[in-house]
Amino acid sequence: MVKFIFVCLLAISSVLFAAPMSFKGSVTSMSDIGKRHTFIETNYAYDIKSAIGVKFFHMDNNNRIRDGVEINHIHRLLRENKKHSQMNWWLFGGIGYLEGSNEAIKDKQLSTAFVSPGLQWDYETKRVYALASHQLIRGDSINHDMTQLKAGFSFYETGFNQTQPWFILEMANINGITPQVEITPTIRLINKQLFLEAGVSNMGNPKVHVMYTF
Amino acid sequence: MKKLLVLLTFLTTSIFAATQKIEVNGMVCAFCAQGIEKSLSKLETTQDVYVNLDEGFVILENKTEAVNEDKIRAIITDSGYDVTKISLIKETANAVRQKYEKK
Repeated sequence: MVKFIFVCLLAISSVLFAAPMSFKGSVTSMSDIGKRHTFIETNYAYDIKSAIGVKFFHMDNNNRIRDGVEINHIHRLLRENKKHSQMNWWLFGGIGYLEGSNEAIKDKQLSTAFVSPGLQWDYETKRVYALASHQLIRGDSINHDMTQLKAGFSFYETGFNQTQPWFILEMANINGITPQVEITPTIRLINKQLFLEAGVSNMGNPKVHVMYTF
Repeated sequence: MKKLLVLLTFLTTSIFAATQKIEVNGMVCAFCAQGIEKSLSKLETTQDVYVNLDEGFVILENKTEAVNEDKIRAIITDSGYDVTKISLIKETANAVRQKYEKK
């Protein structure tokens, strides 16, 4: 059932997102599409610092499959606004249900409730960007840690209405799903509501991140 | 009489129309700062909004009088940023836009 809903959502939505949440009253949808991990998420910022959302995800490394859905909450712990920079600390977490399989139990399917607390730090100027995040996924027979590091620079500064190109290097790992740290050089394009990243990892896997804020 | 009313309306609007320059900390990318433009544009009194990321300011051109500064601060704060200064300027938002876009 979870897989069916997930596939339907992917089919009807070509919009992907990456930022945890946007301004108060906004709806932000985000998604990553990759060979081993794909998700689609939408959240609503009901407050300056908080958003509530729903997320569907799929993990697959041929031996282990995870299809999950979670209700999550995002909270901005700290934002430091300066003249030419912004730094944030985010705390997020969800509670959900997933189905899947492990190679150890062969054809037997597993299903479990899970929790997924996480922490993210990011720093950005008009020319430099950095992010570090770590999220746990814990349930019965489920023990994944999702770690992501991103850093990069913009090729040049642009005006508010222009598209700004960036180069971002991403390092990501999901223990138990990815065989090693996956390094992906990406090109990021930002134009107001739309945020797009695309690249190919050191393992030859294409990855796409898209964000849109309504 | 009707012409007089139209003339009075025009004069009143011209006299009280105000443009405000809002200096903002933390505006580093268009994707993040779009909330400011959206929220200010929603105000019924707004004529035009211009966001300048490079210099870190927003121009709010109003149809009539200037918007209360506390209201502006609340809108910018709700968008996730900090206001450092609000001042009245004589130029329109479009005039400022032209000035900086030409650079």
